[in-house]
Amino acid sequence: MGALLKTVGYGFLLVVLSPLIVLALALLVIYIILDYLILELVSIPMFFKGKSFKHDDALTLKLKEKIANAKAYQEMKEAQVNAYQQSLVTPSPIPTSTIPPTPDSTTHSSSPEVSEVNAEDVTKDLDDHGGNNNE
Amino acid sequence: MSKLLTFLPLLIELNQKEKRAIGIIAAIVLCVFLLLGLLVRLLLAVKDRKGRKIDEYMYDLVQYNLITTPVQFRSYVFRRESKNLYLFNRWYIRILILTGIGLSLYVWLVLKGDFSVILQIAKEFFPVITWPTTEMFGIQLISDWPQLAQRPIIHPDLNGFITYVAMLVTLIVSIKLICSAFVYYAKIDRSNKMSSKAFGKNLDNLANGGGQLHGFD
Repeated sequence: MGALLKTVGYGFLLVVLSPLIVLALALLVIYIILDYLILELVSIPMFFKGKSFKHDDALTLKLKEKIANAKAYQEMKEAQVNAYQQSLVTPSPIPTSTIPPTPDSTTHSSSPEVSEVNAEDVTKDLDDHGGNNNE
Repeated sequence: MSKLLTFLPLLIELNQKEKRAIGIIAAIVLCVFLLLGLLVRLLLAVKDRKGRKIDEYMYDLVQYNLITTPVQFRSYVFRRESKNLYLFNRWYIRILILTGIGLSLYVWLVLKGDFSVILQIAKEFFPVITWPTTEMFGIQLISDWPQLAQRPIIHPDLNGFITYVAMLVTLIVSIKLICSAFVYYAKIDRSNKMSSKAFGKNLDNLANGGGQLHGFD
């Protein structure tokens, strides 16, 4: 009964708010046309430089690379924390500095690709980002 | 309103037939509201499903701290979706513009700039319907099924063909643009909601033993 009343309420709201909904949709359609016009104008100089929004997929790959780097960095951090916690649980007479590093931490820390990625790098990409077909 | 109040005592004096008529009208109105409510529920479900598309590319960015604030979150979704809007709709808008230019050229060169011919053909394509009304309690109410005042008139000539093609193109592009506007709104709305949810300090997340991404439900 409650769901039925809620549905009827939605219907009543739709009738009452329909002018506003139509207005909002009309504004969004105008926004789409403006968006098209602006990006069409932007794409003209890009065309003469041999670029287009379509070819910006390379930047998506760059972003994917950044994600992979950040993932590796985070895994390395976790491995370090785990190793540290293990050393706390099983204390040994040997000083911690003499313990050889775990295989995980060795591989990650020696990798030149792994570096800390901050948010500014990503937002720089966003300006030129082409976008995927996610619709 | 005052008109209605003056007729309020009359409601008490209604006979059985009139009461039944009012009951039927109320049932019809309720059914209409119910159907519209179901439509709203369907649209809300579609909005929710379309909005979740942003999760596909935002999850990793948030998970690995590449995006760390709600402002960055919203900004990224806005920019990406604005470009997607362009990429998805550009050919529809280009075709609409080309159709408009073609129609204008035809009117200018063949019809000597007389646009009323095209408008008349477009107007006659739609049937004219009249709703019989009756006065009840001082208000005009629909009393019967609609009547067909004028049937659609089809013009099987070149003017008609060009007008119908232009109308069809406009209809298709309009539907596509309205759908795109709805999807865009769904994504932006979800980004606005999730930006505060994913980065907000919510004690529920701690209680559930979760981390930062418990907002992505």
